[in-house]
Amino acid sequence: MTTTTVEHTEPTALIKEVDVHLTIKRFNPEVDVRPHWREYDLRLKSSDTVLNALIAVKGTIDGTLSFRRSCAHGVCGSDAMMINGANRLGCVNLISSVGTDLVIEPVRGLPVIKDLVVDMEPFFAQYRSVLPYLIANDDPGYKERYQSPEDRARFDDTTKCILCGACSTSCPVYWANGAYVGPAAIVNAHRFIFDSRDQAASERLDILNQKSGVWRCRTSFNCTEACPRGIKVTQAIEEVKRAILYDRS
Amino acid sequence: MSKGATVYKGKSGQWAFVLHRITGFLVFLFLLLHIVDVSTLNDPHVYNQIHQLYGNIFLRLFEVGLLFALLFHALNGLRVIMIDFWPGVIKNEKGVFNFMLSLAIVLTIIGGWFIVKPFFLGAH
Repeated sequence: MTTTTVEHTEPTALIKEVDVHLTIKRFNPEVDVRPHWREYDLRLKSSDTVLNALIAVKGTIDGTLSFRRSCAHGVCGSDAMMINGANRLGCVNLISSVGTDLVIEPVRGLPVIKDLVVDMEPFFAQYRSVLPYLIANDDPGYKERYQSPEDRARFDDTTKCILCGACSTSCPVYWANGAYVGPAAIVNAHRFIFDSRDQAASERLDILNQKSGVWRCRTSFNCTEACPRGIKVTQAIEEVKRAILYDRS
Repeated sequence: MSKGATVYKGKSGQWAFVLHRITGFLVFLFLLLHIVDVSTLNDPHVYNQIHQLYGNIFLRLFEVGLLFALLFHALNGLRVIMIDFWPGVIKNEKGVFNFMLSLAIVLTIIGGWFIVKPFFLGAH
């Protein structure tokens, strides 16, 4: 005799409480010579984010834990970190999707200031180096600069960047070579190089044609996998490479 | 999970990059070895003695490894060139990696048989 069983998915599964085990790489420059691991156990809802877990640790277990967060909704780009071996934003990954046994580290390739807080200045210096703003010296005559929907679509993907640094700090070349401008800077150069209103594409292509530019990319695709906004980062870098190769000389 | 150094969990692209570096370095080392063994040609006696070494099973297995390194490095190099020049390939980058890796393994098995066979037939 068989009985028909319907798989029952509980609507309240996400608010079920679960035991979460966190292993966090800690570093306090005032006392530590090198980073060390600390473990924390707590009960959370499976609908909680990894950022909620960190806030719970800081609020209830260990107030010395440092991490960045601002909007907590995946827009400000403050809380990129390495969660279970891959770069993600703490605020948009639920316990239910990343698991209850979490290993959290600061992102790689940037100097750690304390715990999960890294010095973003090298990253922003690279960002500034590609002139990430509209350069158009002609006078539009007190009108907006017209752009067709097709021209706007050309660079739509790279407008989504929130400068969290997850891509650059997932790149093996970026870890090893501090001079490489990194995927994030190239994405933001791409955003203006392919903007029909912009007039400084060749200037940016010159910058990215240097030793520290796009040719350091070895297409490991870690950046594309890491981007929390789903930007096809490697594809953008390849488009810039081809623009340097084909559009000039 | 280990509490020492952790490995970044990239997908196939990361491992293609790592394997490409390692195989490239191994092929470079072999090239140095090859220059050394060929340079002994001034003395045919030494040359012959050294090249007889390549007939033993360990060096034949080493050559099978070298064949894989060469094949993977060459085929993955073609994959990277395809990604660079053909915009459509990037969507199937993982599939192309799997194809190139499988092809390298199949060709290594076929070529490896021909490298190892003389040892078993005693015809080296």
